Formats: sequence, C-alpha cells, structure tokens
Amino acid sequence: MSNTTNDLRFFKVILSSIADGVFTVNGDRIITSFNPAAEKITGISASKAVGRKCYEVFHSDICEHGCLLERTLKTGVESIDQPVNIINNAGEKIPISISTAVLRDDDGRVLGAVETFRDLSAIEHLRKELWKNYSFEDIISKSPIIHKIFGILPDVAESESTVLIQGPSGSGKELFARAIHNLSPRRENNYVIINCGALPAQLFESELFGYIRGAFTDAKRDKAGKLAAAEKGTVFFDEIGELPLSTQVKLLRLLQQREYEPLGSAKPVKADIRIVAATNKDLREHVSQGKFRDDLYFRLAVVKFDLPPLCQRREDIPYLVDHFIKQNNARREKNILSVSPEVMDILMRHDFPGNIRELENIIEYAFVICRGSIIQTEHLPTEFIKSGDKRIGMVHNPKGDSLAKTINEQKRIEEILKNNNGHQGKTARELGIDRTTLWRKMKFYNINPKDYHH
Amino acid sequence: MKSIIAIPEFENKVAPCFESATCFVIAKVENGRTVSIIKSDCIGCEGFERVRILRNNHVSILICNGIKNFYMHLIQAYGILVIRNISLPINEAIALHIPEKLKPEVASTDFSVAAVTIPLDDLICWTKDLFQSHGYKIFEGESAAPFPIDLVAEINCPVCKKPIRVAICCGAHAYRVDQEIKELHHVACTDFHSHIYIHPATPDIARLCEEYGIELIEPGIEHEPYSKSIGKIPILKKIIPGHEMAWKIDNNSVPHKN
Repeated sequence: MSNTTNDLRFFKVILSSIADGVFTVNGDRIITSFNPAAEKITGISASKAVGRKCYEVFHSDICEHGCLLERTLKTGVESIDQPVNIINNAGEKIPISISTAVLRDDDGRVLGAVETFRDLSAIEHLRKELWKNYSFEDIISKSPIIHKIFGILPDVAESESTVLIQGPSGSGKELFARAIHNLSPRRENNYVIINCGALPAQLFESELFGYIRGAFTDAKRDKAGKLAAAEKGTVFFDEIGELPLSTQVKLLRLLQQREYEPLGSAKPVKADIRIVAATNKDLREHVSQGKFRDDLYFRLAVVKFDLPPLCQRREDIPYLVDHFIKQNNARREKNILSVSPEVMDILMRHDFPGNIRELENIIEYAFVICRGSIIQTEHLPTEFIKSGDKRIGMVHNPKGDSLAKTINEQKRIEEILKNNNGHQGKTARELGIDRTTLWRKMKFYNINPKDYHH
Repeated sequence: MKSIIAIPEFENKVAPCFESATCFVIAKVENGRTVSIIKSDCIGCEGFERVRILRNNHVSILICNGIKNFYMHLIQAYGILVIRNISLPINEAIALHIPEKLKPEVASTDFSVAAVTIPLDDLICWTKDLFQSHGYKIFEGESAAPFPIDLVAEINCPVCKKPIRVAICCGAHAYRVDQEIKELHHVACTDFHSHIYIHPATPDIARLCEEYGIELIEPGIEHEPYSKSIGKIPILKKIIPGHEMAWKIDNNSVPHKN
C-alpha cells in the first residue's frame, strides 16, 4: 500500500476517534468533510452536512456577521478558541469554542479551510449552576400553560410591578423569579433572596432593614439590611405565606411608601427595589381565614402567576429528564445517555407530589447507582419502585391476564394459535405480548405454528 | 385558504439562525398564490421581540433554519406552525410550502413516542437466532463491544475470505431512540463493516438510520425474507466498500423490504 493511501487511512481513523468536531470547507464555504464528533455535537450526519454551505449546518450566532471561517479564508489569519453558540439539529443551544485555519496545497494555493470545535456544554452547565444566571430559556417546558405565562413574562419583567408567583413546592417558582430579574432592566444589580419561612419573626426587621449602632445591646456597629444590598435590584420573598401577621405590616409599609427605617434610626431610607414574592399556599384562602392581610395581598398580587404542578404538565417530564441527565453528566463527569423505556413509563405515570424537585432527586439518585449508559428501573430509589410496583408490571403487559401468570403457558399458546388458524400476529395480540416474544416462547416450547393451520 | 408565512432572511435564503437574522420576509398566500411580500427589520431584536413581530403580523407559519426549542415551543403555543431546519432560497421555500412539500419537522425528543415495548431479551434472542441461522458467528456481552452494541456478528466474505464484522443494536434500551441510533453510529463507525439496528420501522427511525448508514431490521417472526439474501453475504443489504464482489455473485437474489 502506498504512503499516501496509508496516510489517508490513518487520518480517517484519527478524525473518527477524536472528541473535537472537525470539518473542512472549500473556497465557497461548502463542507467537504465532517467527522463523527462534528456529527455528535451538531446532531447532523456527515451525509447531510457534506455538500452544504457551512452556515446552513451550523446555525451559529456569527454565521451572518463575523464568520471566522470566512475571515480565515479571506485573510489567511487563523482563529484560536473563539467562543460561539450554535443551535444543533434538535434545537438546543450548544456553546462551543472554534479554531480555524487555511488549507493549502504544496504550491501554497488555498484549497479551503478547516474548523475544529469543542463542545463546552458541560462547562456552561456548571457555570450557570455556579452563578445562577438563569433566563427564561432555562425553564424547560412544552406545556401550553407555561407558554402562556412565557408570553407575558417579558412585559412583566420590563415593568416595575410587584409579582406574586403561586405554585406547589418544587414547581420552579424561584427559577421564574430569577428569570424575571435577569430579563428586567435591573439585571445588572443584585438579586436578593429572603426566605420568610426560615427567618424568625424577631430577626425579620433587623435582617431586612438593618440596624444602626446602639439599636440594641449587641448592636456594636451599623449593619446594612438585605434591602440595602438589593438597592436598584430585585428582592425575592420566598414562602411569603409563612410571614407572621406582626411582620406583614412592616412589609406593607415598604410596599406602600417604598421606604423603611433601619432599627434604631428615625431617618427613613428610600428603597429602589423590585419585589417578587412566591408562595406554595393559596394566599387568597389565607386572607379569608385572617392569616394574611388583604391589603398586603393586593399590593403583592399586582401581577399573579399560578404555576401548575408537574402532574398537570406531564408532557414536560421527558424534557426535564433529558435536562437533568445533561446537568448530572456535567456535574459528575459521567456519560449517561438516557433512561430506559420502562423507567420513562414509570415516571410518566407517577404523580410527583414533590414536583420537579422530586424528579431531579430521582435522576440524581439514579446517577449515583447507575454504572452503565442507561438508567434502568433498578437504579430508581427503592421507595419509588415500591410505590410504583403495580405500574411496573403494566409496562410490558397491559392486559391483566398476562401470559406469564397462566399456569399452563404452552397449552394456552397452542389453544389460541388453534383458534386463530395458526395466525401468529392475532395470537400475540390476544395474549397481550409482542410477536417477537411469542416467537421466543414458541421456540422454547417447540411449537410450530404451521401445525395449527386448518 | 389564507396563510401568512414568515421567513428569517439572509442573502435571499432562509437565515441560519432565527434569533440572529436581520429581517423577516413576510408573505401573504391566498389560494396557493403569493399575494404580497413585505420585509420586517429585526436587527438587534431579542428572541421575545421576534416572537412579537410574528404575532403582530398575524403570521400562521414560520419557515426557518436553526431555532432554539424554547422559541419554537413558544411560537407553537401561539398557534403558529413552525417548519425548521430548512435551508433554501426564500422563493423556493415559499413555493415548496404552498403545495405542502415542506412539513413541520418532528423534534428529536418526540422519538420518545416510539419507545419499544418488546422486552430487550426477546429482541436479542430473536436477532441472535436470525444471524446464527444464516451462518454468522455471534459474540455478545460487554467484552465483545461497547454500549449500545448488543451483538457482534461475524462472517467470512465468500470472495476474499476476510471476516466481515457487523455491529448490532437491538433497540429498546433507551426511550430516546434517536440518541441510541446516533450512539451506535459513533461507537461502531471505525471497527465494523456494517451496522444494524433492530427496531419497528417508523418513518422517523427509518429516515435517521438511512442518514447514518445504518441498516434497519424490523423484528418479526418469519425469517423468509432473509433466506433470499442479496449475494453471498446474508441479511446485509448495503454493499460494504472493499467487498463489492460479494454482492455480485448471486444475480437471482431478491432484496428484502427494509
């Protein structure tokens, strides 16, 4: 074999085995080769990519203006590790870093260019987790109820209105609150969370408003409160329904007058803050029971969203499962691909009283246990499996009178085959099993369907 | 029939990316004819503003190339049909849409609906029997090949006598069938001559297998279609580079339906 043929063969193997995406283009930016890693990152097969313009495949934010490959082709200048976002074939945003270089022949003539790119999704996941820099786009939902909320949220975020988010625990209230802040004109300033349920009533005032030296025995120096920390930013009052009546009045004053007095001070301080509150209680019900001030409720609920529990938007479960798998893959440096159809079936039937947080915990648990590439039923938490026992049995055998449960399986198969003139499809349907399963069982019992043809 | 089509434009083509296109072409179509075409600038607009432009223009169909799922779902929630991953000249996209030649693309996660309900053990058992009965040697287990390859089938080429290695994935591991197919392609692309995916053939799965050069075999009971395999290499339909002669041996062969 000639050296050139060997070289080509080796290059092909090298390009197939590296984790970085590599593709080449000719002078017209038409793709001439596309390695398997490029297929994996973009979700587009080489057979579809080769022969097309690179921008038709890459869907990058710089394709139209500032294409690095075009610049390299024109100027001969290489680019190294430039951060870019692309949208893959499945509609997911993938952060990548790209490098480009010119390809020349032995005489120095430009043949085209090569681009190598690295998937930075895992790093981006961790970065988002670290900085909690979430946007609406990070809220995963295909539910029409949530999309109706999405439709008005940008306008709400731009406004200065106080927002009340109601929804059960684990339904993503905090994510919505953070997304409102990140989309608002206040996004450059602080976002401060106050958990009303965790803060003792006695400390609420000093924590929120701060105090000045000498306000009480241990107040040795001035201390700014959380409101001061959130100046020109957003304050998120979580679990607002837990706030005692005595404290509610102080919050009401803040909402009405937009000013407060630090403890021990007679001088009011103006507060330029946006308030977003959330609760898992029905606040209107609390108002009617006298547990929550109605004037505070109406001040808070200028704009009100009700987030549905996960069991009312089951269509989101597969998307959330995918999301948590990616998140955990990044966090734990694993490479789990998916869940088995049985696991998905169980998840789709579960009621999720703990909502999205419960689903997140289930996937996290499975990641600890799972050593393979697919999360199977045995990787799910034991209590979860126990509560879903009946459902698990239903996965492959929707009919109550399952084949496995019959005392004389062979006799039953023969009987039904006979009734159906040896028709295997009808027999399998009647038995509630797949044709392949029937085939295996017939092979096991040495049953020949032709014997039952009339 | 009236419809209003919006297309993000770049160099008279469908723009690569919905969110960074500088303008929308908005075409009004009535009874299969384009009645009017206007352009709406969207330089510097954020995604939400783009969605608003579509709504304000009463758009009923968006034809685009890359679009984030988030915006696609949002647009769909407003009752607008989204046809994505299209890279055509604008006029051609409109012209093809009118006779409904452009169809909304199924998002990859929608493959979940095609999850297999056949027990994996049965699929493996059936596949093993199919290949063994056609003279293949079967190797299985994690030592034979990495996930998602369940079986490795080997047979000697009747012409050159060299072994032909076939990677077989018996679907049903994952609810994301699309990911499984892509994983099979990536894992098997260098060490195997042929790749087989065993799964009921829905159009999407057949298309994806075709795209990645994977042969799709539908599990069933009868083996008859395979007993008349093409050439002297049984079962395999796709010609393996370097072994073309093996497919020319038997001219009476009948290709099986894939």
